[in-house]
Order: sequence, then structure tokens, then C-alpha cells
Amino acid sequence: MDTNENNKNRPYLGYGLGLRKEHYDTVLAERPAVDWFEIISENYMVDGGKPLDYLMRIREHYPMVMHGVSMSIGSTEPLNFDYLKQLKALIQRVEPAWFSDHLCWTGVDGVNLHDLMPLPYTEEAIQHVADRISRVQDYIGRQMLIENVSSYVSYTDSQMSEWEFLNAVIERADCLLLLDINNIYVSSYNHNFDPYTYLTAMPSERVYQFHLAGHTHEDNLIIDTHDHPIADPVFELYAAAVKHFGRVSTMIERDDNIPPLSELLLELEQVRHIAEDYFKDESSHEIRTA
Amino acid sequence: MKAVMKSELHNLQHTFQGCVLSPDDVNSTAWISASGRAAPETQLSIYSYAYAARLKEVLANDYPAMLVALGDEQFYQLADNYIKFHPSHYFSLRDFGCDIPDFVLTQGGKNKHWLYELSLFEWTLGEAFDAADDNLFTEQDMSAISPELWSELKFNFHSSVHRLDFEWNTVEMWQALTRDDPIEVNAKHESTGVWLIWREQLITRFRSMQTDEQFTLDILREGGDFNDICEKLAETMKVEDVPMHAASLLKSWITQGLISSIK
Repeated sequence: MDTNENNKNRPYLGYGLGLRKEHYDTVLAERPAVDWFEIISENYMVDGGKPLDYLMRIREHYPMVMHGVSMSIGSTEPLNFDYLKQLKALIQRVEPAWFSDHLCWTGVDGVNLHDLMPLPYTEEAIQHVADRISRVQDYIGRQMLIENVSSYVSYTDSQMSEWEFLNAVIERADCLLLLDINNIYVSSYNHNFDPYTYLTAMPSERVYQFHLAGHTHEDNLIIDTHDHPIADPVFELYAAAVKHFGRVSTMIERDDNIPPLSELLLELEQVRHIAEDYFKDESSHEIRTA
Repeated sequence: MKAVMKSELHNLQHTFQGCVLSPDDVNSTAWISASGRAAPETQLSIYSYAYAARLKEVLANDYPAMLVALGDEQFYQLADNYIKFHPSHYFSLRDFGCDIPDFVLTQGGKNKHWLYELSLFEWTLGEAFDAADDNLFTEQDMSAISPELWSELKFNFHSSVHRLDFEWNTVEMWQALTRDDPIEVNAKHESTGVWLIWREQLITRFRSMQTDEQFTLDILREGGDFNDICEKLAETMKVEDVPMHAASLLKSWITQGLISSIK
């Protein structure tokens, strides 16, 4: 794992993809030029069989990070230590560069909605979720990355902007940030705010990963569906993120309408070009002005 | 007893969740801001729609044969009812559909008995698919054990091993319904058939069992030893043939990866 020229403390993995079962055999047979893979943790929190077998065979050839959807870090339910115990065991097995989950809640009263429900942007929620992130980090024994979610609902209880809320949580919890560029765009559209204001308000030293994905327009809103290629406005926001943060490990999430791996590799090349063209221009500019 | 004060955050989450679980019973959306691009009711509907759609997709993936057997309309009606009465209590979607077989039995309809068996078969295949990767007991391990110790040997079976008793042509139907070009097979009530499901290395397998294999397997899985299965076999065959037959059954289980260790 390299460290970032622009931020000496930030590890840098390059350009990655989400590992999906549809691509297992192709990945093993062709060893595509993907710098790293992100796995959905819950898909491998099983006792054995094919999922774990494929995972560990692919892990032999690629760096990995783990991304969870069920920690429910913002829920008012007690933390689920059965879940965290299994997560910790998988972390020990996979040895990921880092692990992440979402700044959301997934259920209360013993029910799991299996969705990424947004939090109200309140002081009470900051204190609640920051305390839980700290407890998870203590239990797992390392810092975690928290990801901003797409949202379709905004609460009358909210007292601040989403970026102020996110900043306060990660500062108070002393955790790291997985910045989902598509989610910023989706929420900015749905809630009428400027995505660039959000982007530039993020603390650079804590941004360890970018997510990119496709979305869908529906009912006067944008839905974070991960079933299309990345949209142009998201590419534009990504270019601004590259300019603002420097080299950040970046990957594409695709969870539905999954194309052949070759198509995703082409899309990943687009992503790589946007960033590398910028860094090339930057370095030639530095040489000219030296 | 002292009353526990619920936080504002909890109350908000409880309210929101109630609206997602029962979208037809929403009393008020005053907690949703109208400042966004869409009306509060539309904002809320994104979550309630996604909730049902996601869980229905999970059930369709877990029960592909039942989906074909019932057709989209009936299957998704069943799924809607299941989602309503069985909200998920699991962190993984992998487990959400576990109560479908029993739920099918609580539903009316003349087909519920074979649908129960079909759904149980599909769920059990899933259980075997990602059961633990236990060590396997090999023929070499067995040959290292002195024959005079055999009579008291007890066995641990692989975590993926399941026995299912069917009264319908369930497996025949499943095979026909899960072909690339599914065909209809009429449900037929039959004499009880006993099926073994397990995973051999990474491949999930199933086969029917003859009577002697059924009861010997049961004896060993319930903690009996080699001597116990020989005594049972002696009730139905010549005593001098018993040791060879018992050893043959044992060897077939070992080579098929059913036994993980001896006790």
C-alpha cells in the first residue's frame, strides 16, 4: 500500500471495484488490472462454502477493504455484539486495508429494515453516533471509515447541514471518512444544496476512500440505485474531489443490473483517466514553474 | 417499575420505521421537512417501496422453484404477506426467508402441503451451501483405526448434512421448475421418500436414501456407535452379512464427505 504524495498519512490503494459473485470466475481466470477490491462484509459472514472459498482465493491476488451495511451505527438499539464479533473474525481472516460502514440506522425495536436510513442532523444524534463509533473502534481495535448515505427524506428536527453533521461526528469519534461522491450528488439534488460546498467542507486528512456509482431519476428525486454507469455530473464532482483532496483510493459500486467485468473495467479506466490526467497536468505545471 | 425515557432520536426512528412497515397506516408526516424537492409523502414512499421491493427480491432468489410453481402474482402475494407478518430480525438478508416453509403451512389453499415441502427443500439447499467448512474424515483416517475398536466408534457428521422426509414428488418438481426452460410437473402424493442433502467440498448435493441407510444414519447422528447400527441391521438381514454391509455404508458416507470426525 502506497502513501499519498499529497497527504503523507493517507494510505493509497489506487482504483478498485466492488467484488461481486457474478465476476468471481473471471477475476480468478483473468486476474484483471484492478488495483483492489471492496467486499460487502455481510456476504461473507457465513460459516463456510463457496462464498468464503472464492473470497480467500481472490484475496491471495488483490488487496481488499471491507464495507458493511448492517452495523446500524446510528440506531438507538444497543450495539449488536454478535454482529461485531463476526465482523471482527472476518477482519482477522481477510486482513483488509480498512473496514467501513454507513452513517445511518437500519432498524429499531428488534427489526432490521435492511436499508440505510438517514439520521436527523442534531446534537443528540452527533453525540449518540460518535459514542457508538468510538465503542466499535475500541472493540475491533482499529479506526473505521464512515460513509455518507444518499437520503430522500429530510427531518424537521435537523438543526444543521449534512456536512456540518458529518464533520462533527467524525471529529468527535476520531474516525475516518469514506466519501461517496454519488451520494453527495444524489442528496444535493434531492435536498437542494450545493454539492461542491459539501465536498470542500470535508476534512482532507480523514478522507481515505471515494465511492462512485450510478443512480436513477424517479418521482422528482434521484435514487441511489447502483444499477447504471456513473452519471456525468458525478464524474464532474469526482474531478473536483481529485483536485481538492489529491490521491484518494477510489472504487465503483455496482449492485444491480451487473454488466460483464470488462464493462466495469472500461468504466474504471474512465475514472483513472480523470484523476491521472489531473495529476499529470499538476506535475508538469510544477516542473514548468520550478 | 421505573419508566424508561425514550430519546427524541428513538421516537423519530420508531415513527419512521412504523411508516415504512405499514405505509397504509401513516397518521402524520409532520416530522418530515417540506423544504426538499419532493413532498413529504413522496420522500417517505421511497423508503417503504424500497423496503418491500428488496425483501421480495430476496425471497425470489431464495425460492426460485416456488416462484415458477406459483407464478409471479401468487408468489409476490405470498411474499407481501410474509413481509408483513415476519419483519426481519436478522442482520443479514441471508436469513430473512427462513420461516417461509412454516408460513406456507399457515396459508390456506389445497397446495400448501407440497409447497411446504418444496420451500423446505430450497431453504435446506441454501443451508448446505454455506454451512461450515468442517474437516473431513477420510478412508485413510479410518484405516488407521484398529478393527477391534470399530464397534464403539461414534461419528460427527458434516455441518451441511440434512435429512428431509417428503410425501410428495418434491425433488422431481424442483428439478423440473429450476431448469433453464422450466417445465410443469403435477404434484403427486407418494409414499414417504427420504432425502439426504449435504455439500461435498463446494458442491451442494442431494440423493434419496434406502431404508437401511436412513435408520443407520439416524442412529449415528443421534450418538449411537457402530455396534448399534450392526444390531439394528441384524433385524432385517442375515447376521453374517451385517458387518460387511455396515462397513460398506460407512465407507460410502466417508467417500461422499458426510463424516467430519470420530468421537
